[in-house]
Amino acid sequence: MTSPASSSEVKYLIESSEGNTFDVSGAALRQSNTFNAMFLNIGADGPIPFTDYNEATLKKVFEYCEHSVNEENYSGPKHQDDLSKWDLNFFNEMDQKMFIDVINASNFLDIERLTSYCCERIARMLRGKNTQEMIKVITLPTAEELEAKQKVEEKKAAAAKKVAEKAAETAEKTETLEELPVQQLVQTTRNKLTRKYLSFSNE
Amino acid sequence: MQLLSFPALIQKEIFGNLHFDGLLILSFCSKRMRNVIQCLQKHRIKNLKTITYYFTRNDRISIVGKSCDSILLKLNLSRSQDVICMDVFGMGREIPLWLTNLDYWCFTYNYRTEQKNIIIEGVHAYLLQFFESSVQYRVESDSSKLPPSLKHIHSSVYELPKNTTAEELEECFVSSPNQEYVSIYLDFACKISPKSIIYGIENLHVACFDYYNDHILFHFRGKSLIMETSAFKNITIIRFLEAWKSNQGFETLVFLSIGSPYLDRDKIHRATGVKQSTDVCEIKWKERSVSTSSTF
Repeated sequence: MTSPASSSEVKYLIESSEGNTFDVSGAALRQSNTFNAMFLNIGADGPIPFTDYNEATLKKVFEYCEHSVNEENYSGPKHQDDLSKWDLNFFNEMDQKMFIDVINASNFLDIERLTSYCCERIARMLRGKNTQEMIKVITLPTAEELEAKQKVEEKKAAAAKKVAEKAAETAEKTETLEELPVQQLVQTTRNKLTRKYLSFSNE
Repeated sequence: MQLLSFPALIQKEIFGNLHFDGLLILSFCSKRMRNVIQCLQKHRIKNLKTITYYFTRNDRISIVGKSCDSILLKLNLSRSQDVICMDVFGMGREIPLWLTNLDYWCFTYNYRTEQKNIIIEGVHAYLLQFFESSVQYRVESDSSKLPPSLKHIHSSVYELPKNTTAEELEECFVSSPNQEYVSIYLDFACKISPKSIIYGIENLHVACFDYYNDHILFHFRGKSLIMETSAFKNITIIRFLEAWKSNQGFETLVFLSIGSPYLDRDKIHRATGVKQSTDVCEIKWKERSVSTSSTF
């Protein structure tokens, strides 16, 4: 499907977690340091599997890469205020879930520019907020929620302990029951052997 | 978005985009968050060289953290009559301390006046834990009330309120008796006890504003003493220099500077036999080399 040639005309097939494939230009893919390290020099025989990420996420990530192909070389993160209209639209049209998926995919693919912008965007969400507001942004459980969670966990642990104790009791009883026939069997065998030995010695 | 679920590299980059004041607020979210920030921002924390607590009039406290060449942290604590509890600086919800102004240049926390000492001790304890001991902590005060004694203070500058007693001054050093440098602006005659912690401070600077404070000169046990604008009699300095020269005490003293408009330099030199250059008298004996600069 692809050759290791580094021409921007070359297209690579990318495989998503759904097993779907789509093509991405070599120039866009080269913004991924992960790709560069893994496939650029050896080439890829068949679709490149990035199967930890879904198609929508990967397409979004590579949409960014395709767009920034012609931009100047990356020289550190820009402030959000310096982002172009296209960049802002790109980020604004993502919902939070997609945004998180894009960050993770961008991190895995090691696309410095996109990762930096995403991180700067999150920092911007946190700036100028007090602790309670920050907790809402980063969805940390509040003290009350933690307390409630701890209580539930304690209840669960107590219930589990009870179940374990009952199971242990039952197992003990079963063990005693099972032990009886074995002991009887051993005794019977011993008796039989003794009788056999005695009859043999009588003969 | 679960910040703590992101890979460490992402977390590090997010934290890297926040100033220290923002990181502090974020660290109040949870213990785990604080640990993660400390761990991933070690390289930045290392750049922080000093944190200074400025106690100013009106019970305002400014906290400024600096690297070698720039300000990295700036917080203000201001008094208020309101009572809002926010669980900041790890002090729980019972302590009335709350964030009021999230101005980009300086975050302001408000506190109840009567809780000032508890608040500043709590804030200092948190900063000590957060930034660890690599940072030098300093206190500067020109407040009308002396600040509380804080632990692990490296140096301090006190402009003492009028009528401060020797006991009150002593209290300031109880938690950090081994400070490297202390500067005291003493606008009155203060009878410090001969066993005072202050005399054991390694480098002491005292501005006496024309008050007689001879006892400081005679009881000092540190390495370097600078007394500015002091009122001294010639005979006091002669007595001191004779004792110092003949090794009767002051063994640890290696540098002494006295600035006093009342001294007769020639008279002192004649009496003590100290050779003089234009501005500086130098005394040399035994293995010690002592320089006594005088501006009288």
